[in-house]
Amino acid sequence: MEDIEKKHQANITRRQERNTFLPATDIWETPEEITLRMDMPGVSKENLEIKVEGDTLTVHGGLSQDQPGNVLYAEQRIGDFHREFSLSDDLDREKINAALNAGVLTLTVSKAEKIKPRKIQISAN
Amino acid sequence: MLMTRRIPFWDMDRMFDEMSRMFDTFGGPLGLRSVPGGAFPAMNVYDAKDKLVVTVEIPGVDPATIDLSVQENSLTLSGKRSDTENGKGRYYRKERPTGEFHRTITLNEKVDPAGVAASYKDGILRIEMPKAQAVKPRTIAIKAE
Repeated sequence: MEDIEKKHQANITRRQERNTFLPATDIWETPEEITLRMDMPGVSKENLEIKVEGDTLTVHGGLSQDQPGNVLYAEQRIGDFHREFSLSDDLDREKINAALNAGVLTLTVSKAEKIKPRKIQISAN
Repeated sequence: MLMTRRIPFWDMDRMFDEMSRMFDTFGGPLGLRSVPGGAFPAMNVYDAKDKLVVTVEIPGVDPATIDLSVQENSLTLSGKRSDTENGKGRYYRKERPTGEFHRTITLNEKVDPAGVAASYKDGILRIEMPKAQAVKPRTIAIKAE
């Protein structure tokens, strides 16, 4: 039991030690769903973590810190991608699709059935 | 339509990002960071003994459309990142840079343009350029008489 706690604590400290920054994100809405598209260059499927806890959607993309040689010039940021979003009640937490393609993550979140636009059939008598 | 428009997402770390951008200016590996969050695409240059390695963060681009040319002492990269979804819905946030880009960097050592190799993985373009023969350090064996 103590061990688990220790491990947990170690995990927290490790997370905090790593520098994190926000991936550039586009968010758009259509009548059926909301799409989030994030630039996460260098993140592979294995290092990507997407979590929904309560109202919070968390995206974490780990980056390898391997360097092919001595740094002569650097513009790229060092650390991991991390971003959190709050989900409103209008969104269906069970219907989230994720696709990672060439360092771009696309998340589509379906809207809850109750708020989706409906076409009402008019029956002729 | 009766549906009320509500902003479904609240960005919690907007402020932290602003702060990290500020601090990032100091954080580079050599304290060297001339273009903090500015130029697209972001590049790193490494010295790997017998070659120079350049990595470029350029996610979501078809590598076939990237125009890369290497001269003895410079590297030019150009291309276009298009926004295929544009106009499809109502945008709440648009942070990803799109459009044409063009960058030239000067290399601090001469390279052999014929031996350049480039690969693209997970949105990162990696260019490896062998150093020109004359620049490679040579060890000269001294013969004992």
